Amino acid sequence: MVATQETIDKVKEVSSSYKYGFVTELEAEKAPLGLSEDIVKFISNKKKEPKWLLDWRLKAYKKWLTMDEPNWAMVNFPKIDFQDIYYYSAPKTKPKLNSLDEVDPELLKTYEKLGIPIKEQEVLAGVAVDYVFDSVSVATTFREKLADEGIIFCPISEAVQNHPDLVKKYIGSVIPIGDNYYAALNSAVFTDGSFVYVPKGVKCPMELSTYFRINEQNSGQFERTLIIVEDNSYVSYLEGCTAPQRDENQLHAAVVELVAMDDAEIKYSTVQNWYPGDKDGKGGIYNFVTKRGNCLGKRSKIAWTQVETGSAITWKYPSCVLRGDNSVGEFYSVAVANNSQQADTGTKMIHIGKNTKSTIISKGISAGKAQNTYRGQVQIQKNAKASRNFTQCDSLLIGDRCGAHTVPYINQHTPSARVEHEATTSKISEDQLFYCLQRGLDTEQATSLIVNGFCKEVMKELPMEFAVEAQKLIGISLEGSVG
Amino acid sequence: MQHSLKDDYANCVKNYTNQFKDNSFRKLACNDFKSWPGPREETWRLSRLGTLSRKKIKPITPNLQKTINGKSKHIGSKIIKFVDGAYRGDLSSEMPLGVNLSSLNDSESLEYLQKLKKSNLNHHPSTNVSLSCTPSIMKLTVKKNIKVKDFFEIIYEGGEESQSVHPVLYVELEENSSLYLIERFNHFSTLAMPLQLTEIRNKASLNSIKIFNDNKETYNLSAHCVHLSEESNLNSFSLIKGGMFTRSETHAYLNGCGSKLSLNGIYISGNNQHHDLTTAIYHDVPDCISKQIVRGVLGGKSTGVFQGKVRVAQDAQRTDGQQMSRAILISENANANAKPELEIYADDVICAHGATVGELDDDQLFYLNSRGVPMDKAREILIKAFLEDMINQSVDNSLHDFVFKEAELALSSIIIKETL
Repeated sequence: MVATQETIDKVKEVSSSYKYGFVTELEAEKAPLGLSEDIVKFISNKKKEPKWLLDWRLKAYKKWLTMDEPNWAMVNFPKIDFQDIYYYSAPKTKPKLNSLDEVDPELLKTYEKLGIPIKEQEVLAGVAVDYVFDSVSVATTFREKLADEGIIFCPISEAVQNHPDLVKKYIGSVIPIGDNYYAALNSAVFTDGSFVYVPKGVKCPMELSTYFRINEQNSGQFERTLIIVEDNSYVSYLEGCTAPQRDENQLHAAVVELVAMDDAEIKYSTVQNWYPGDKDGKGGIYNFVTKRGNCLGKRSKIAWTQVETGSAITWKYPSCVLRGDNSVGEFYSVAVANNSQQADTGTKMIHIGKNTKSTIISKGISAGKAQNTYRGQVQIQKNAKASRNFTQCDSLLIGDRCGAHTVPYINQHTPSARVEHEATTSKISEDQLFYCLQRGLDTEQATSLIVNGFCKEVMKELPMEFAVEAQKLIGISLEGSVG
Repeated sequence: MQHSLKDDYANCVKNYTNQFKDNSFRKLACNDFKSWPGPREETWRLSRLGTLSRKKIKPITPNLQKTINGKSKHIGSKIIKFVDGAYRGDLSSEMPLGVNLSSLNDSESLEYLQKLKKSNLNHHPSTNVSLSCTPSIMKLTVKKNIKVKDFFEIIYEGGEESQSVHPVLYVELEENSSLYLIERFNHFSTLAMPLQLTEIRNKASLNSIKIFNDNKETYNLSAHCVHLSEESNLNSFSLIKGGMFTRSETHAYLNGCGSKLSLNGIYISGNNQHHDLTTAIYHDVPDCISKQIVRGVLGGKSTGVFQGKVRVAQDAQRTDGQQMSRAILISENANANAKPELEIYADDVICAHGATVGELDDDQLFYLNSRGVPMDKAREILIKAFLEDMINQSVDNSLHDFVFKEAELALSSIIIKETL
């Protein structure tokens, strides 16, 4: 009977806890399972890369073989079998696309389900979106408008072909191949990602945005992003993620490198909402990301803003190396962990130049059985005279089975600098909750409201389009944690 | 090369332990010491033992005739002396009624070892080495309901170059008792590894002052484990100023409801000194309070480290844990490291920590300067005020002058150097 089928569908729809949990049926071209030198060569060959890049990959692979998986973070997960992962998969429909109409309708449907009608976005938001669908970019918009300004915004595989000098000069310059275990892995097998180059004196006229999606079952995504901003330029880059629901853990080890020259400014915002696993922590994505910005020029500025609500395990420390005199580093973060999620996240501010300034605002929210850790390092080196740092990490606990931890490291080697760190941990006060309930909100709405208030300092740093989405996300992430 | 020398000390410890035929606790402890903790071990990352591990050291055989000419006069009215790590009854005061001091027998020593093995000090080198090599474990007991009026003063001294000393103490305050204890570390040996276990029973109260003032070549790796029972109270203050490398590591377990802990400390470092104040406070039951204030003044090429962990277990609701650390650098080449750490598994808690590192406040200096106080003097006033304010909070009035003078002595040497 039709009605029965409808009911079943309805129940299915309502009971699926993760709104974006679906798998798009698309044929994918895969590399054989596992990792070896041949796989690295296979990927490089597939991308028709020049020899220097293949050598660079192989060097990273060799380095990776000698390294150990880091185990200092406060996260627990079964050991990853790196031979049980597909390191390359690309949608088969790969011919060059001139317009959106040529894009696989299946793909477009996926985007629609995600709540981002691509056409609408193109017109309304004025955002150039570089969609990454399982490692290979398939549609890029607004490229021309950016090209008029001299801005390069393209998949990194394309940049390797068209702007090899730029890529060769900067790739691995901020995060060397042997920086850490996952960065080495990424350097060896990265498939695609974004490349942004803003020439001197250009203020990027729009927010650049990439939507990452993890799709192919069991395919680890290894994104590589490289953003270079020349003297007196500015760019704001948005990154957001959703992923289909599945049972097996997925590994995501991205590397993001930013370079800011004299008086340049980079604003990098992330909303991360990958599948966090079910209530018992089954499935879910492992998010082991290395992000680092190099304030190379004088008076340069890099700001990281992140809203982390997804992933089973988050291991992520967006950092700033403040090399240029008077450079500024900022880090604003909201990390929400519910159910069995584990997040170990924070930042590093390495002050090298004189008069450098950094601000860290971190808000951690734990609910259910989740563990949320802030881990941050502030290092003031000998020549970083008159530098300043201010750090504030607040944690909010919802429920008595979760944990909130703060592990800051302060290393100071010069007297004229000043470092301040403060951290508090508390729960939602009964008074606040009572006040909201009394005014007719239910517990869940009230919690969402209070939590959003708690995160306000960070939310206000997000670009407008993101802020709205992020606020909703936090509410959704905390569903089922109270009452 | 370095590796074989590391083993060298472990071998010396093993050989030394062999002379005690029947002590099972020594064997157990000795087996757990293989080498010095390396820089990859998280809690030793900021205080590295590389230089120490390359030194040729062996455990001392205490000279029971040795007397040391005291370099400063006693402040307590009851004196307990350890020379070369061994308790010296002939140099110590008689214990008053209700207080007992004796050495532990074999089975009690084994129990002592097991208690430490259950704590997070189980891998600390001092736990294992000192239990292997100590002449005997001394136990100081304050009997039930006894409130000791006298100040007790324990002096650790002696030791020789290229040797290590191993005083081991067990302090027990029985129910509803109280004690004021001053400990002074004046070792001369290359290495000192004092070990202490303190148990404070229900409603008992301990006030403790520790002054680390070892010889300028000495490495002091102190390890202290404290257990607090219901409604007990520990008010502890440490002043670290001497030695080449001093690390005072304290682990406090609040395992009785309503217990209160205050764990304050000051380090004053100059020259090439390395001072490390490492603490861990474990809130395991509800309704406990812990407060911690740490301050440091760093001159010369010295390094200061503060590592403070506060862990609140799932059942420890209504915990109040506060921690504040501040360090002032007064020289271009001084280094300050801080790692205040919160690990919280309960939701109904008020926990906060703060840490600052910097130099003296320009505005305050200017204020004093504009009122005719010369710059050098202004700096001195501000640094002293920075420390005195804290000493006032943590030390009994009658001992304030003594402690402040000790701090002043250390300060004067580094301040004078810096202003020249």
